[in-house]
Amino acid sequence: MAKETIFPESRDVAFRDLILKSPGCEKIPTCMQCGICAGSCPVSHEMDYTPRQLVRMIQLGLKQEVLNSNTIWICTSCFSCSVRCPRGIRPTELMEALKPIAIAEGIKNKNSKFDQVFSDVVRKNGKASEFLLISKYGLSEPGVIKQAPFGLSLIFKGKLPLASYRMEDTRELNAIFKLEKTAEEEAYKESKTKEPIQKQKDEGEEGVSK
Amino acid sequence: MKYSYYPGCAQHGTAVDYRMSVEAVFRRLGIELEEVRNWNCCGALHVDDRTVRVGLSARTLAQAKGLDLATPCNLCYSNLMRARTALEDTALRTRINEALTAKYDGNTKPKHLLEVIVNDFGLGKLAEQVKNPLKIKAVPYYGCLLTRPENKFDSPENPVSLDNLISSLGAEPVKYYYKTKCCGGPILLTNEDLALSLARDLLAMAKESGADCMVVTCPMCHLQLDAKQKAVEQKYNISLDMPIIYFTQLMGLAMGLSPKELGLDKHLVPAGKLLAKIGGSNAGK
Repeated sequence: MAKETIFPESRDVAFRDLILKSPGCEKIPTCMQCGICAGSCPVSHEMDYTPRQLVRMIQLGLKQEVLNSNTIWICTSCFSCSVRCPRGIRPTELMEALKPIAIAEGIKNKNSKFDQVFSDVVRKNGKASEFLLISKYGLSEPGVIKQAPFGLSLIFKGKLPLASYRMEDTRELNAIFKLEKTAEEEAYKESKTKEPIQKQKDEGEEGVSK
Repeated sequence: MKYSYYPGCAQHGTAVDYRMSVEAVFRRLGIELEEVRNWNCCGALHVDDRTVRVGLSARTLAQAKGLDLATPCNLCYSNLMRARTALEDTALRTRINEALTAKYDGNTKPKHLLEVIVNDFGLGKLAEQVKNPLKIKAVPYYGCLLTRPENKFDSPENPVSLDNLISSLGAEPVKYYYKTKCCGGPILLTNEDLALSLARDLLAMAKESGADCMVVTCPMCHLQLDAKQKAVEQKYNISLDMPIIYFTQLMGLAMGLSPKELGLDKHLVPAGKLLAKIGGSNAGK
């Protein structure tokens, strides 16, 4: 059970406060580290921090560690943790809140690339053609070629039409995509320009037990 | 009975068999599904901007024309339900409505097709339509997003609606510990090894239970458990041969519809042995 010491300069209060305002994250301050989230998670063994640890890290405002963790991207969004948390925290929604922030901070990986490809396909066509998704993602992530036999087996069964399908009229869709960037995020950006990382007075704090 | 209907993107492609069975079965039961005109993707789990994601489903909710909004897909259903809750926030609703031509008033009720059958149509009435009771054992697999996070029609821990549906078709739902455990579908392209290990757990447990097939309610689960089953067998050097059947296909078989009409020949794991066991009016078709 190694303990890491957390230094004041690695804590980002504005980041923490932004997350605490996100839906499903409001009750993060009440977390008692019971760990039912980590125990319920089907993939926590692959995460560098379990959901329980990540919640503690949010309490502490450990922005860089949180945003660089693979936890956000390993999550399959199954919501097992979220229906079981005795405090009413929804760790799945925490991951959802963190994704756009991580992307805005320049984090790139296979999953963020897939999300980008998916969003672009929907933005452009209004519908998610699976063939377009697989082929576009395959171009940005060459390792996917391993799954070519899977794609071919679907094509053979007539389950992966090569013609992409789209909405007849995308005007409303365009307006919806223009809603990107919430008011909270704008406020957060503003606060960052006004007062850089707020230093805490305390001498570090017992942090995340591994 | 009439519903506004939101098929979701997979019905164009990987779930074409699901679409065929929904059309055949609902026509037979006399339940009308009126497809939403010019519908858009719900964003699945991959549109990361929350306002946009809620906006995509708000537009769909706004098109329901006063009817309940039925959908065959667990992901779409979950997104619609979550958007409905999110849009109780009037500030968000006002903001999103500015982007919409038809405004969302907050009143549309999304329903998964399983909910339509079990709660609205009724299993008693369904049992009257059974011409060929299915003497098989079936795994009731619900997946994640049918009952989580806030879908009130069945328990997120131990749901029973699909078990009951299977029973009413004359089949036996087996005890299955992983009813609502994740199949790995959402990460099948981005994290294949992990996705396959999740699918292996489900399929091996299904095999162990002595079931003749697994019954699913979601195109993503079907893709993962049917189309990726061969990859699981190869990776772990095991033999599974477990047919994955949409609940609408199972209903169709019990109602005497032909396997071809239900799209059963489009599965990657052949359903031959299962169909032979079911026999009756479906034999040899």
